[in-house]
Amino acid sequence: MSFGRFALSIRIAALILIGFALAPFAQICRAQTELVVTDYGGAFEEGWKKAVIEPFEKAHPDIKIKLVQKLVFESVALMRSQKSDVKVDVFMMDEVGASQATAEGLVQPITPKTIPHLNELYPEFRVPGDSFCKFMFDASVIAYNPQEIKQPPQSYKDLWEPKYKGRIAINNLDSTTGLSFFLVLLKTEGATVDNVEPAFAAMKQLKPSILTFPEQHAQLAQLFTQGDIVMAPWTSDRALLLASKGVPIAYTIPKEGGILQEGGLAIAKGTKHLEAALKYVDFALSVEAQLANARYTFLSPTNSKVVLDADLAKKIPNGQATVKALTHPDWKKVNERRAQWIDRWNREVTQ
Amino acid sequence: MTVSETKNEQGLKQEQTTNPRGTLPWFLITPNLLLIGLFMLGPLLLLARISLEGYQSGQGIIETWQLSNYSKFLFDPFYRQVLVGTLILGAEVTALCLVLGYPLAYSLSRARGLKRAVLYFCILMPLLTSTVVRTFGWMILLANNGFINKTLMSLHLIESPVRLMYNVTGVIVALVEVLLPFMVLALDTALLNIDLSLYEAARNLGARGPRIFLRITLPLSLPGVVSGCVLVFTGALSAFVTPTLIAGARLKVMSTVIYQQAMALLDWPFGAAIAFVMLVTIAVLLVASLQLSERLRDA
Repeated sequence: MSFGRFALSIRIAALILIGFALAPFAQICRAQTELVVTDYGGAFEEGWKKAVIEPFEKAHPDIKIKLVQKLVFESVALMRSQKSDVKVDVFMMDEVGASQATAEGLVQPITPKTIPHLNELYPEFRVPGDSFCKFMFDASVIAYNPQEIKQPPQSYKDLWEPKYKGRIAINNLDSTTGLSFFLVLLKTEGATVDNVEPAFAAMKQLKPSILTFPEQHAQLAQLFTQGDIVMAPWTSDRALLLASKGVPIAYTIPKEGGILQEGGLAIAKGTKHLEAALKYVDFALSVEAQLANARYTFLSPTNSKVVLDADLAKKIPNGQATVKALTHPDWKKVNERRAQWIDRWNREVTQ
Repeated sequence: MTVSETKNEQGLKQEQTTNPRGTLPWFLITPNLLLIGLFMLGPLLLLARISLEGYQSGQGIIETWQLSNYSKFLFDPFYRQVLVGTLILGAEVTALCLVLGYPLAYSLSRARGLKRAVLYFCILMPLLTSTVVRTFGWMILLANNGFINKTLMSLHLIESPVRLMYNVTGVIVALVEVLLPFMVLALDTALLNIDLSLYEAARNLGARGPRIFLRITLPLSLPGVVSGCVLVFTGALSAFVTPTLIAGARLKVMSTVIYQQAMALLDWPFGAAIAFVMLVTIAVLLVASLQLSERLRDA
């Protein structure tokens, strides 16, 4: 009897040992590619995980996604420093960052052959040479607190009204939201990319009204939540995301129009997981991923085949007509002048 | 800092009597030297190299050897003003920490037993929370619709909110809170080191409180004052999170200017050059104050 028990425990021990011995083999059998991709983090990431990462991993059990949070320019910096040994495979970045990275030769171009869904995009969202692809867009807007401002602002000029003194925020020019506002300003003040003088003159007048110059979405969100500001130039998706959390905030595209802001995905040149990276990018452009992303993050789809839910279609900018109506800046020219503008902004506006 | 130095020296002397060749101290500092060499000097050399390169917007870094990044910083009144402003901010924070920290450190050094343990824990406690979290706490207190302004307004002491945030005032308040423990701990060490019999002797000779403080406590705690000031001053100069979150773009300090160049404009060479200017400034001030502390100890 006692021998029987002994034999049993020996057998159990042997089984456990065999289990341990086989475990590495089991892992090899299910060998997973780890694909490292960046995203913008924060409130956006919650939606992106649900809309894209989780369904993608379900559809491709052999690929494991590792998310790292990177802002656009941090991403370009990282691409530059990992050039000789690529660790992060796919970068999420806007036009400004992606075209900089393309110019520095850090991007692996794609084609409709490798990314079949590329053909379904609105033509506006294809870039020359397909160096990267655009997976979402939003519009630069004026966000406001509807409890404090009953009538939606009609024009960007409303920001200059004395009653809002000390109750507005303007994003710093070194952020994408700040840059978009500056580009709108060029339009409203009759300035151009080559002659920004009137825009800076207008900013000098606005200066005393500005409570602060935030750099990140989270800071603007906090300012609206705490009620420190009642109006600020922002983006459509972020305003809706904050509204969905119960904060009194609404947005409007004033009569001067808005800037088309896009988010892109760029594959790092020299990636060791090119096949998985292509699959990921293609998945992000698919109808189901784009629709889910619009539902969770309020970012508009770039895939022309997406049909939005009726209430969502009312909320977010969408469709070919809207895309056409938004201003498409000459990003190449803007990029070339951005550093000069920021330098001047540092001295004349925020100082 | 200086107290431990004295102790180290005594330790060294003992060591030398038992180990005449004095190889043991070298042996002891080797791991540390290796670590610093690898992870501190290496990156610094890389940074120095980058600061001598050029940058062209839209093209990236150009591999050249040039000093133009340094001249761009030093000959531009805007950037010089940033450097001076940062030093002034550091000096203000240090002075406030000293004034607020001295009485606290004094009572800490006089406390005994459980009272000292509790007081010590209270002073250390803020260090257990990250600076980011503490800064967010200050944002909630200092904002226009924050706790302080709302309280003052509900008491009808003020009509409209007082601007406590988005300017240098808020940054000073928050930095003093963040850095105060370093000052108190440095002062406490120096104050504890004062021989209590000196006080008895002074009192026997008829000296009173203020005189005892000015003639005994203050002079003997000066090394602690210097090391506390060095810790707080360098901490305030290199602070990044607090100025960014509390003041935003309106306040330009060295750390935020470096960040903007390196991360937003991708001009690493210029960013590296500014970082080096800051490093050299801090090093010069550090060496000067350590020499001052040495002289104070000898006097």
